[in-house]
Amino acid sequence: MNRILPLHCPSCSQSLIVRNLQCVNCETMVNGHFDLPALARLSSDDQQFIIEFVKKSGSLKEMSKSLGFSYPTVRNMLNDLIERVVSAEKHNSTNNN
Amino acid sequence: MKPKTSIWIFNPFVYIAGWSSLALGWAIMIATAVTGYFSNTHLDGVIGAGFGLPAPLWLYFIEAAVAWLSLCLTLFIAGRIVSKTSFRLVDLLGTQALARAPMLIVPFLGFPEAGRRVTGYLLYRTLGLGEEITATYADIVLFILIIIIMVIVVIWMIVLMYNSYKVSCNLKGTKAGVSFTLALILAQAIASAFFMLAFKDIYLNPEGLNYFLN
Repeated sequence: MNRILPLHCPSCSQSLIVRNLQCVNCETMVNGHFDLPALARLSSDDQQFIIEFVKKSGSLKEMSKSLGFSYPTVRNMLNDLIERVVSAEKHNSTNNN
Repeated sequence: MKPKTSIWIFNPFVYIAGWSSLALGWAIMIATAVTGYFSNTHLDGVIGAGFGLPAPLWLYFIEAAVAWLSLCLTLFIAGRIVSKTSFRLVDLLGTQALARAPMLIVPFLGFPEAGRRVTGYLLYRTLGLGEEITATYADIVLFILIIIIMVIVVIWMIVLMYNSYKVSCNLKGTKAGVSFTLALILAQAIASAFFMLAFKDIYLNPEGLNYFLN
């Protein structure tokens, strides 16, 4: 089963942080306060878009062909995604301060 | 997500833009101009159409080009001012050419003589122009039907033009709506001024007017 990483609290909708990490080999646990990286804060669709974009060497034309959308539509999708990445980065820097 | 058919009807630019839409748009614009030549239907404005004045074929092509380019010009300037991101001119040119596709229906509405008879009748009754023409009830019903179809076609084309602008220039909301409306009004003024200054003699010559009235 493909489990989805929850990004927001189901109770109050605030952003979630990482408090606990575990080694899959020796089961050592690390506790602390870790912010999710900006990319991990994006939706799975956005993450998939970024993966495909990198795989296509950043070519919007290739992305347009593989997604079946026109070039400006894909470029607009990328622009919207850039805004969300910037917003996620701001969120992280605010939390770190 | 909206059904795919409605996207193809009102916003095909999600799937087609750039050179491919430019080629398709030009092909439809040429077909529209040629059909307009045979039915004497002039698309002499960004969103306008007129029936009845005979003219050489080249004028129909110029009308199509001016109507298309004047809006492209004003939308390009508006997009440059309003849009935060860069955009390709070919997307705007191509999607705007394709947005004019519904106008292919309009020249076919110029074939029935009823439209011409009712227009002539109205011109005689209201302005005293031409000779007295009798229009039957069937003519009037057909004329009203033609007007209704034309209104639907023009609304459909404006929706396409707006969506073309939004997709090509990456705009949304009020900013897109206001800038599009201003650009459309300005383009209509530019096109009308061009036609009146450049082809005044053709549009207003007595032969054309006589044909229109007879």
